[in-house]
Amino acid sequence: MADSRLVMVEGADDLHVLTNLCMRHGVPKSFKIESNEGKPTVLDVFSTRLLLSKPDDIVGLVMDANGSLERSWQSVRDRLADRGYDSVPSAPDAAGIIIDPPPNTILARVGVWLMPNNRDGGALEDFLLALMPNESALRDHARESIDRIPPELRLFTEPKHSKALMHTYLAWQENPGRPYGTAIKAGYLDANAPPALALVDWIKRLFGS
Amino acid sequence: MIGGEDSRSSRRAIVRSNRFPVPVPLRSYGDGVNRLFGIILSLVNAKGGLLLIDEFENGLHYSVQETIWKAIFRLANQLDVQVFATSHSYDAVKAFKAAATESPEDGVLIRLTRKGDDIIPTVLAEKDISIATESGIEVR
Repeated sequence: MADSRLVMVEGADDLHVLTNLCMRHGVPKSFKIESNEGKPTVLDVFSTRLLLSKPDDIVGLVMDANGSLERSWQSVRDRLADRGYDSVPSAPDAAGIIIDPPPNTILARVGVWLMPNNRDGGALEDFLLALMPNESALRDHARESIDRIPPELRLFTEPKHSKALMHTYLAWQENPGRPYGTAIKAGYLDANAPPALALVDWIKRLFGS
Repeated sequence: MIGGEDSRSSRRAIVRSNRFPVPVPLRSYGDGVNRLFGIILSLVNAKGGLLLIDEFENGLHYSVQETIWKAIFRLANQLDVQVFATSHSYDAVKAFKAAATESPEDGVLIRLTRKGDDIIPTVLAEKDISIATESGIEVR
């Protein structure tokens, strides 16, 4: 399998989350997941991949909507427009974006998922928070504990709140400190929560038809 | 060049080198030197015009390709030759990229993709070549 069917993600955490969710839901391994940490950014590499795509390629992009969803989507849209995708919707589809190549081009079929849910700004951890079991006393306890950290000991900034909560919640499991992907496998995070099902459905639709 | 004066011998290139007491046939050198000689000779012959090089990498070890691209860039400039080279080799593309960074405006990389009966060109900007090289994206 060359790079003709590919999902590009921002880091190892995204890669393992996606891999484990696909495994849990029996998604056929007909594509590669590639993590792009650091420089060049995942968006730059994505853009170059689109330029160099060949007929029938499929390229997915999973990216954090850091800050604002609108700005993140606009930056993806700009890259798509640069490469010749001329009918990209102005707002992302909440079920995950899928764009077929314009006719008479050699461009790839493209999928975009903006973490956490294509609706809000956020990151992988905000997606994972929604995978915590609904009735979890441990989650509530972790949340309260973070809220009770005295201000002078609270070193992380507000955008990192979800990440702090995720790591706290995972620190107190039967096997403390499992990484995200393993936490899904171990059932600390629910692979059947609606957001997980939505992401898996997007992957299936992207590579399925 | 020697020979070629009568019908029994053809013209052939010889090399005078400090390594040997007498001139030796160019052919006794490796493929690379012969290929380089051929390319330079062709460049000189193409002065003020066009030179087409098919499968640039033929006979060239990957480690010398950058040097040869640089020689082509320099001579093409001096002799006012426009060079079109084709290649299927990733090493050749990498070497081209390395040689072209010194004068990026002199070289352009174009990928040709077949779609049905058409051949579609994709022009790669300097930034895309860099990203593709760094990220191991297939440019061929």
